[in-house]
Amino acid sequence: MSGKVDTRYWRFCAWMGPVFVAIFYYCWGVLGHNFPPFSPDAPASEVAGYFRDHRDGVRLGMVIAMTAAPCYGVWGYALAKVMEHTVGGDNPSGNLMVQLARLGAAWTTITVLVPTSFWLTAAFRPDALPDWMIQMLYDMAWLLIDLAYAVTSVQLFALGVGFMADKRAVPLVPKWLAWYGIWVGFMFIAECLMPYFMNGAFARSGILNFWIEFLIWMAWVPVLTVYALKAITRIEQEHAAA
Amino acid sequence: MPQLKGGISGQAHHLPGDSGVWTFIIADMGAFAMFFLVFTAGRMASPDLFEASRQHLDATLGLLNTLILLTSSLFMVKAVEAARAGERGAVQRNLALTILIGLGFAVTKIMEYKAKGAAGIGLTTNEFYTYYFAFTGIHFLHFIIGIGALLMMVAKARRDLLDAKFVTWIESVGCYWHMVDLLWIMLFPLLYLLRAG
Amino acid sequence: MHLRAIHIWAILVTATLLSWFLKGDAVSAKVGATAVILIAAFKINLVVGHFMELKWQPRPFRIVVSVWLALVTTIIIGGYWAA
Repeated sequence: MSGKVDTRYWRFCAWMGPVFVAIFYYCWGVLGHNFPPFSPDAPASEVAGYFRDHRDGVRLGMVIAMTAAPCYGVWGYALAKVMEHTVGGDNPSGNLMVQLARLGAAWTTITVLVPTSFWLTAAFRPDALPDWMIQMLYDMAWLLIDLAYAVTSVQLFALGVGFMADKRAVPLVPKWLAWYGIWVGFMFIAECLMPYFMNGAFARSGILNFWIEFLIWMAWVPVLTVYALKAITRIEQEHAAA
Repeated sequence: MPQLKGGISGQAHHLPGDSGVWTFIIADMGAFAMFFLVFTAGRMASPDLFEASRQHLDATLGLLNTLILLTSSLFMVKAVEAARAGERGAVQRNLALTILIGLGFAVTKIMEYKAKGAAGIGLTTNEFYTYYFAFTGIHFLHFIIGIGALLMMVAKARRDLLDAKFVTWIESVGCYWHMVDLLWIMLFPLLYLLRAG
Repeated sequence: MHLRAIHIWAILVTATLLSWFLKGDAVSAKVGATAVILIAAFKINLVVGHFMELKWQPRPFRIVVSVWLALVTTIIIGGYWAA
């Protein structure tokens, strides 16, 4: 270790995670009527009616959500940067985990961007579209955002493995949080059941496949950010002492 | 890496395995508690449907599954004990038995799923079967991951030093494997034995 | 009291067979159903204490698992009786 480590942009990037969750929750979730979503067995007229009546709100929500989507990737890169200091970014295996963590974050950005554009399409000219078509766009967006879970699992698993490899007496990110992330990535597999249900716990709006799945992920982001910010300070101190 | 001596014995005040693994286990048990709650709520709403569907399950296979996992768990305990005593041969033998007996669970489970499929019963047949397939399916996935972890331990037991680090590894895998057993212990009566009065 | 793993296993198998017996018509459905859940809870407690070797000290994990078990048992039996 040689003197000071340049951490100028790390904190800014790490803050982008909670920023993403807050913006995404409000713009995609509240304005877009996705938190919670329409039940799959809601009539097409109900979904179409919402998009026609709240066209401007949905458009604004989706435009901002798409603009904010890269924040997730930026956050993911900041975490991968911190992880370089737990897993050893220079050794080949550590580097592999760091790259997978970045890749998972970058891919997740795409899986947020693309379905968001479908909801935006539904709000673009809803008066010209038949009810079933608006419903189809809504379904399509939900099927994509839910079933793309595995992309985020790559990030969750890589960060979990990387933070667990920390040899410090007090790890930069606690073991329980590393394992919690792995568990979240594992739990996402319940989304595989989502296309089979029009209602109930496993439907896109259900207790398991919506409330549990989204909340365990959305909680993970700010909690991990708190530890990442502390970790950056510790990394600076370690280098200053070296 | 510091060299550690072999033959670690379990202390009285000692958390078996890695504390992080326990976070995973407890979070996972929380998820299953949620499953049990969802099932119970469904059963309260339509007790007749749940009872009629339950009667179509093959409880004998469920019983067999329970006995298989309990016995597999016993050899897991013996493997951990052997690791603490530093007896490599016993570790390997007991791990192999854990896996071999455990695989019986896969055989009976696949037989059961196949029979359900042949009878035209699937994930979306009704609410009871949704939970039956979803919960046993997710449990089965835990089982497969457990078998994978056990196979990894077989490889480690062949080449690694049986030191404190190894003991932590085998305890962690052991606790996970017991969790697979533990969750099935509640799934079995909940799905197969809870007859309506 | 120190029981060996094989003894615990024998108790677990016996308890399992008892719940198998209770599924028949020997007792009323309500008693039988309640008993099989309680037996399962008893078995889980044995697995946690003896197979997982989870002690009450020094960390709170055993407390968390015991609360989990009490909660799960209450939910299932409570829901059963309320149905």
